[in-house]
Amino acid sequence: MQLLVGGVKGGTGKSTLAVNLGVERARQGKKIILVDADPDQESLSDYIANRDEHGAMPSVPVVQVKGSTTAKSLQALGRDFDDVIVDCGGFDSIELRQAALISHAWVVPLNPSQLQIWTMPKLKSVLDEANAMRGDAQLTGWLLGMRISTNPYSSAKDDLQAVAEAFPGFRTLRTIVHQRAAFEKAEKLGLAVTELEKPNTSERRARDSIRELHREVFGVTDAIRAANA
Amino acid sequence: MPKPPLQFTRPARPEGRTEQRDMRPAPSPAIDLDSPEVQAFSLRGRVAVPPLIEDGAGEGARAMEPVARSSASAPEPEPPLLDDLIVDDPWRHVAIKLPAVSGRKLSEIADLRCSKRTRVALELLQNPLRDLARAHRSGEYPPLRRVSAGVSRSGVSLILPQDLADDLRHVVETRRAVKAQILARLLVPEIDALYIKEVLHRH
Repeated sequence: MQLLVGGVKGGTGKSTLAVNLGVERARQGKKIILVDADPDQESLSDYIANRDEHGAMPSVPVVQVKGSTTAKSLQALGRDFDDVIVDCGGFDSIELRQAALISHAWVVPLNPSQLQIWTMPKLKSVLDEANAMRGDAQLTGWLLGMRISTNPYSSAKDDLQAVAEAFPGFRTLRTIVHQRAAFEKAEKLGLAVTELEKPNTSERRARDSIRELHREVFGVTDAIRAANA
Repeated sequence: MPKPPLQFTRPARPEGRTEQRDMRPAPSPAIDLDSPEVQAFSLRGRVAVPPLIEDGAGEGARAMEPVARSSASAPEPEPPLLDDLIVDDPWRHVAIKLPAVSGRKLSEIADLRCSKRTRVALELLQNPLRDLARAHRSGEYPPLRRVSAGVSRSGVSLILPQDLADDLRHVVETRRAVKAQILARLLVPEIDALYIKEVLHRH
């Protein structure tokens, strides 16, 4: 499965999400590769370099792609790996558009603040243009509540649902990933939150949210693979 | 702001919201990636601009002109492309953290060559890594210049040719080192030297 993690706003947690999903996928025994398609920042490469320095296992490979051959490179990787997780930069880039053409799923991490919601029309136009070329294989944008406040009065979940209703072509994932220090701690160690040792309550909740998200994103793919096996 | 009143019954849930739907991925699309429509669609996206070099190179250095390859690099085989990927050996996949200034120098060199950072980095790593592995096999363990990436870092991910991956494995296992550390310490001085040769000496 080719999974695109992207949006047109920076700092939404795309790289964090890509690494955490990728590591969880690798821990499930899947042959995965992470693709750093953000030549401006290279955050994903930094994360994995940090992971390698700390000797964390399983080892998760990462490659960088750039420019108008991105889609072909992703297709080539898709032949060798069970899953390819692509992290694009937080802007409307060539790499984002190329990945949108051939991906099977597109996760858009979003904290539904006003500034982030204002990026949705741009995102929808990219999705619509890509779908105009994809024929029957229409791509749906999966909105993920990411870095959401743990405040019980937060209206983020309802706001996210409202965003999905306002922009046809997008749906909300039921998983919510809250803003937690566990992600920063794991990042410093080059780990995913699912790998933190002796987790406290907050770290366990972060871990559970990533596992739930993993099931939600890859569940159908795994079921289809199991049925075909 | 007044405290919201307590509600003693659960609010009514709108139709459809309680329903948990499977998130089904899209099938693989049949797209001609070389078609003019696809190219036009892609090119409406912004191109990533390499960051400016802080230490002396002016606008002229940013011109996308090919630069003569160094004589040392000429006979080397082309580094592997993504399509040639063989993925069974984890030693072939490396991600290196470079100091930000080294990363920018690498970008500048690659731009001037109309090449890629990964390709230049691979070329730069080949000789020093082979020399280091040769030294280790003969029982010598030369010290490597310490590289401090600091807070601001620039990452580069490479797929090593199999022979280089074997050399890297030998070095790492012999020294009980970390592969990204070895590669960063080899790469940074090479980038500095090539930057002086190919970028600064042009002005």
